Amino acid sequence: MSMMHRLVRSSTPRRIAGALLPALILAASLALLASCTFDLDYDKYAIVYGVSDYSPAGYTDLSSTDDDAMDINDLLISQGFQVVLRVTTEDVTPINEAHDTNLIGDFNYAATSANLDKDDLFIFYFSGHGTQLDPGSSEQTPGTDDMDEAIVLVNQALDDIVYFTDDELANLVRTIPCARKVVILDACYSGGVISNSLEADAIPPNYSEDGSNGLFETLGNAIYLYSNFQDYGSDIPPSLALVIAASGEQDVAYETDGNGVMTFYLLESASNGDLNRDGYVTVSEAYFYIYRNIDEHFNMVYGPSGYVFFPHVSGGPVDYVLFISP
Amino acid sequence: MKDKIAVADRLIICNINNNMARKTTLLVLLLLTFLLQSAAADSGERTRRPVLGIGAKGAVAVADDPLGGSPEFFTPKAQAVGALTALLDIPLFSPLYLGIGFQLHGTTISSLEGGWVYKSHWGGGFRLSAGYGFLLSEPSRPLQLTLGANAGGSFNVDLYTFTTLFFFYPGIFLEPYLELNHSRRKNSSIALVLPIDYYFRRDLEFYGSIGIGAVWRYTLQ
Repeated sequence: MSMMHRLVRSSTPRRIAGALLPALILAASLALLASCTFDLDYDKYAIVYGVSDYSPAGYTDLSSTDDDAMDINDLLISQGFQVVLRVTTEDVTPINEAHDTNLIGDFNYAATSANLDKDDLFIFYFSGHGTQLDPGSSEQTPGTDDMDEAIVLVNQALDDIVYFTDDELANLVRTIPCARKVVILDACYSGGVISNSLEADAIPPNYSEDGSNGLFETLGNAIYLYSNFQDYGSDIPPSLALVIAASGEQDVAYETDGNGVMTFYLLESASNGDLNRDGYVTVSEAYFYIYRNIDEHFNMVYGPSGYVFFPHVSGGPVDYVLFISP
Repeated sequence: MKDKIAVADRLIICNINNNMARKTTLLVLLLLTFLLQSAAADSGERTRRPVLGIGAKGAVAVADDPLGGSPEFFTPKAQAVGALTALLDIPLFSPLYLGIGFQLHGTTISSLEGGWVYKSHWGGGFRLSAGYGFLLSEPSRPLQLTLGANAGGSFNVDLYTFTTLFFFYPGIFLEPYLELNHSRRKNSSIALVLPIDYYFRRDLEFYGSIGIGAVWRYTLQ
């Protein structure tokens, strides 16, 4: 009898270990699988717009937005993208290609004639002015307002401003047949383009005035959003495209002499943003690289003078590979 | 009692069809029937004192079909899950007890195949359950095995990794367990658990996990 007890005592831990072992092996296999190199065999297509010359239409010029577009163009080409680049600038001689007619035409071409299909990756990048238009579609995310956000273009004749609202932009993006679409906006108020109907952001839409949300407020907002969720609302939901926006819905974005602050760190993220060391930079990783560096190198320096902002990103359960890390 | 259970068994067997949901229900009912029969055969019963426990588990979660996405493109993918749990079991009317737990958990990204992943996220959850356990071995033996199961609901708030975005999702779970206790250490025991979780995500058509874990339990005097 006592021998049996000893047998039971000695074998039970082994049985437990024997049962745990397969689970540990499975978990390790999954971790390895996640870090494997994958053949990402699909086409990559981007439309890149930068507008710096607004003065003929009565708006303040921007200094870096045309450079932003050209630098992003170079980066995307090095990443294997086919890029349509349009800028409006007066750096050398006035060029006005980034106007509303071209924007619609470029999206139409991408939707119908660029041979894109659901497996391909599509990016729309814009650097320029952003604004809010009143009134717009109401949004259910706590803290957001009911104003429409818009990117600001200049018309073909360079004599008037053209506002492209978030809903209009969503309609253009919707025509693109790719399952993975990414919209990157380096513009003021661009966070309002994001429609996160299920995720509560710890960074509120007006961070420059309110600071971060408290933990319990954020958790409460998350439960509220789940309880009241009907469907994704207006603007650009994560199911349509993942958005990286330079600032909150009620915050402005900043630029330096070389690039917009967000674009500067976006460009860096392609080589330094592989935060989990798997060889790829996803939208979330690029966002977090930008977020962390704006916090450490811009907000910490200029915050005491009142110049603070944070980028925002789409929620949703899926994430896309944006760059292949060198 | 046994006759009634036998009748119930026959009724259950008559209702077998190809419907998947019914098959699941059938399995659960058969499991409960097995537990009740075993309990009737063995008068042994789990201790009637509150129990504190801490545990760890590893699991594989499967996510599928994000809301509004292309279901042909966003196919099911697996994610690894790890969790730490603290729990308090309070005896209710015999033979049930109430479980209150708090869990910290993390989920890795899925495979990068196709250039996309299901996101990594981590957070905490409050878990409320009802459980039942009974002794498999005779109470006089020094080494005692208890078989049981907890079933309940979870309320979770997670943060998507590399973002500042929190989201809420409730779930239900079933945790069969096998508990090992030695008479020399009456107050403490080790249980092997096989947790099965299903989550009600509004942005995914399916999100569930199955895993294995161990719980150290301490019976309060």
